[in-house]
Amino acid sequence: MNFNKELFAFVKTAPAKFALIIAASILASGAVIGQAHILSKIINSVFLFHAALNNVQSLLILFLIVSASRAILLWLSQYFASGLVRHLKKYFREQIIIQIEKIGPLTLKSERTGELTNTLFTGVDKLEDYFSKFLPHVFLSLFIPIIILIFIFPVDLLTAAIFVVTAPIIPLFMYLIGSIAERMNKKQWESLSRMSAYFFDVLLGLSTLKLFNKTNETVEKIFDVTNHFRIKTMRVLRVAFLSALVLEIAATISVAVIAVSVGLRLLAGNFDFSNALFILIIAPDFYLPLRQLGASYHAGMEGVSAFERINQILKFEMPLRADVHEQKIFHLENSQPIIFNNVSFTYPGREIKALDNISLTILPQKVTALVGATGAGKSSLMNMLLRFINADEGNILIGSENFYEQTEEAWRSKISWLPQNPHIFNTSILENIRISNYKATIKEVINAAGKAQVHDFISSLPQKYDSTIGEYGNKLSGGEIQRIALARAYLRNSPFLFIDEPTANLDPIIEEEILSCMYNLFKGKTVLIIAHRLNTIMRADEIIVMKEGRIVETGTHEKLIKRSGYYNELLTAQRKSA
Amino acid sequence: MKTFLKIVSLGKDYKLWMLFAVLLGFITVGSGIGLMMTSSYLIAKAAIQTPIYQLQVAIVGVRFFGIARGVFRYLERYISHKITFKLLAKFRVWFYKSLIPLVPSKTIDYSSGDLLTRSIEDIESLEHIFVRVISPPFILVLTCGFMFVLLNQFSITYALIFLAIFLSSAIGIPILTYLLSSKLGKKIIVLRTELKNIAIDGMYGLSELIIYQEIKNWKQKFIDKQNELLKAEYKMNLIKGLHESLTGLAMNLTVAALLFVSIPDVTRGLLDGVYLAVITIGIMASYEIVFQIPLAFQYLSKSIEAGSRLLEITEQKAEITNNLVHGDVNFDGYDLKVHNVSFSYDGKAETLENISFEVKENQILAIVGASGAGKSTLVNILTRLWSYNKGEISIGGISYSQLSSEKIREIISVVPQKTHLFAGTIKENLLIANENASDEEMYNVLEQVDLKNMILNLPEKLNTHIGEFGKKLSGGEIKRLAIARSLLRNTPILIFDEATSHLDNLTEGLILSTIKRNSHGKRIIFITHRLTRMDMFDQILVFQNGRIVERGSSFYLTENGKYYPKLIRAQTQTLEAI
Repeated sequence: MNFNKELFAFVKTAPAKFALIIAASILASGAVIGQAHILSKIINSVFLFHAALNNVQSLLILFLIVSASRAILLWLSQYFASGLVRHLKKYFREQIIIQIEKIGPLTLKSERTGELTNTLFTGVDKLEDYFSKFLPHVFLSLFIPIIILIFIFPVDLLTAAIFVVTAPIIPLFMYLIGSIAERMNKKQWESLSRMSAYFFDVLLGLSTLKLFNKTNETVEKIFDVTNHFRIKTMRVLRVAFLSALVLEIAATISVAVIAVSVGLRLLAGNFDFSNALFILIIAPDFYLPLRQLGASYHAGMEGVSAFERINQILKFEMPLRADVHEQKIFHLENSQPIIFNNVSFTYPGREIKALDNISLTILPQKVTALVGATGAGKSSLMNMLLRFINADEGNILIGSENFYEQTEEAWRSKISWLPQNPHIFNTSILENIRISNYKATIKEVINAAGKAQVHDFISSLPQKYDSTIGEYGNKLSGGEIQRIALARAYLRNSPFLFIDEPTANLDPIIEEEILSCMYNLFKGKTVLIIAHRLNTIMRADEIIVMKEGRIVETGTHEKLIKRSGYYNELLTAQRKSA
Repeated sequence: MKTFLKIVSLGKDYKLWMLFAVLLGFITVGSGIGLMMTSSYLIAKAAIQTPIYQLQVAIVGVRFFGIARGVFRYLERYISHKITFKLLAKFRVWFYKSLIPLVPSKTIDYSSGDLLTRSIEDIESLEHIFVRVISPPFILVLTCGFMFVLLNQFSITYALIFLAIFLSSAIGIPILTYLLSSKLGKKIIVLRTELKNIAIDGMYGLSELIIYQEIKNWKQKFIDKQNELLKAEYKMNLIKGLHESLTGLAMNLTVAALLFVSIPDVTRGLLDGVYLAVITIGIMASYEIVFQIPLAFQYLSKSIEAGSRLLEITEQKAEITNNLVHGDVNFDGYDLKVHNVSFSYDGKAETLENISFEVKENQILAIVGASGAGKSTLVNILTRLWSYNKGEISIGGISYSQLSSEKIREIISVVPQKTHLFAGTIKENLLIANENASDEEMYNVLEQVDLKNMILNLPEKLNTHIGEFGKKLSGGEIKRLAIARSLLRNTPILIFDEATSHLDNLTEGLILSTIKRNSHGKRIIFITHRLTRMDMFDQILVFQNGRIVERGSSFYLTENGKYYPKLIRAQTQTLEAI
């Protein structure tokens, strides 16, 4: 059964709404019983007692009033269900959004972004039917048959007995056949995902197929793969549909049995026609909740599996460092060095240490360059200073204070960051620059853009600073994106500056311009830069050379060159390749 | 609606199957009506002490309909699902075929994984189009006609009253709710897209948001927008909730109206009182199908949404209309000549301006330049994936305008920037290039890219499965396999589009030597932004902003070029991945 206690627990955040859904539905069923009773009375008196229209007129009006109340009650249950859904969707989406910050940009690489968006929207939507249909149906399939039985018992014991016997048979058979089908279905699932994967593969590789003149052969293969899947699936469905057959047959056959048995007793003259008609009218409604449950069973299953994904996100927790007792705000400017003492870090799920026993000092108001091959640990070190990851071992100090004891907020208000691939938000250029300093005036923004040499470009746009940048910065060139990011850093004007030098293969002339704008930003700041260019490296007051998570050399360019160590190796390897 | 018809017309081959399924569906509903009517007939007759032998027919009828309903329901579901799968195959092939001439366009390129994923979901959402959308209205019409004929046996008044209320509830209620909600529906779609964009934008720019402490504003923006969406969805649910209530009310109104006109007939002796119950219960049973109509409307609008998204893709104008060339073309060699070719496209793709060059037999040509200089555009034009606006391209003296795309691709092989390997074995991936290749030939090309030993060491050798997109191979192995695949085709012209840019220096050198060794009898174009072993090329074309700014040998360009030395310098000044 896909009831899932953990998911059901969320009903407790709005118990009144859920109770009202059930109550309104039960009252609506009560109305159905009332209708059946009135109808059988009307027909009985006209048919057997020759009543005229004006004798039964008031009953007919009563019938319409009860019908109208039933319609209103049904709508009310929808009303409460909509309210519950609104409440829960709001709750789940907001929780996921809150979690996204905790998950952090490192775990949330681009491939997971798609998955997360899917969970946030389609996943949460799938909970809608779980709460508004499946869950109420679970309760109603229990309550409504019992209520109907209460009314049938005093009327006819035999009918009540047939109801009592058949009612449990339906879920039982549905369960039995359902579980067989499910087992078959699991195997089927594999071939389904293989079929979808094949189609996706072919679509993505369409250009390749085209270049090899192989597009026509593939059409036949798509047909083959889908047909193969169909034949296999129909085998499963043959069994799965049996549950529908059992449900249908149990319901219709018991109606037939009841009709015949009641008919025979009427013949014998020991049964009341009005009661017989009442039983016949109400019989389909006895089975209705079970059928509805059957119909929403699939929605329930989907809801639970969607919830499993959502729950994974909700349960994500970033471990705290043990040595932090109390977080406070440091009133620091950049007159103090940043000191790493024996810091190590391993990414979760990996064996090799990304940072292995790192000790270093980043001098205040100087430029420190990080150099090394891909995977040497440069980015991990920077991510640690950006507080995207926390050191597993060792400690970091700013002057004499524990780096981790200051609040993230306080630390981040002191830093700027220039990544390799800056993100341009889907808003105006003004907002995009101002993201680094919300209080900045337009004049200050223009000033920063000027320093990043992007003001002229922006002014050339028809709407200038109010121009919206197309989705994900489509309309900007790589150089323009870099410059906008640089303008952000100028506007921020923070004492600490962290840079991952861009390596995008830009036009060398443009690249030089951007770099010279960047160097002007360095004055008076504590700068840590992951450097790729000789020019940048040579500007640094201190170079830290990394290899396989360790620091292998430190010093100035001149000093390191003379040493003919790993640094020298890196430089010569690069020259040789060209 | 046009969209819907276009989609539905794809399934016209299965008309007869559909008709059959609709008939089965009608018989199922009809059996339900039959069961209830014969049952009520039975008890009514029994109530007036009809001799039992006169009731035999009714008793048999009750039993027959009781069983028939379940059996026909089963058959109907089975057949309709069969149709569903056949339709699915049709939709897939249709989408694939429509995409062939469009790929790679400027809107659907190699990287459009997201777009394709959504399309696949859209196609899958169309699978219910028959069961939920097409079939119910037809069943409804048949049921309505059946009841009309039946009631007409008693009186045309009954039949007309039934027809009026039945049809107006089946059509009127969905139309009413549609009118109430059409504005809301559009608003929901817009709000959903906006909310999704906020979410995605924030996830991609999460680092910036966190570091610049803008995350709170982003969350608030999301929460505010979501509240708007939830409010609209809530209203929508309330409107949708009207369906069930109003349909139930309509059913009871029909019952009341018919009782109102038939009771006086009973009193006047125009109608046998037995039929009072039969008519009432029959009408209630016939409403079963009306309850399905609102759902059909909902699925209809969903199908239209999905369909129009798909049509938006498939109905784009193809870049290329293929030339139909009959008969053999007599090439005078395969030298490639590009003369004054220009290309522009409304801002989305790189432009080209007056490109002229020639590649003769045994020549190796390099094309270099920064990203965005137009190198990839040139490849797409040379392979006839895009067409050029001006100028002339010819192979062996024959103009592109006289060659079919297939013919061109028989002569030119490309190793593209982003390689697509298909899920399957190594062998299958190689055979795409040349279906007649022997194992020996395959090993031969694999050796040239230094993959032979690796593959010989695999337990299943060439028959090793490489997983989706070749994910069981490393990035370098994927690239090398793609190069091997193109070498296997052994075409007179070979283009390498950034084929080695993600390989390490050693492998890159190896592949360049392979290319050099295999250049005999071929014309090779090597496109790259990384200037490695430039001395190997007969000629180098230097691209900048869509134009050839310099050309010549590496030696000549180093001495006499202006831009080329800058490219070289920018590279030697950069420490890339070692």
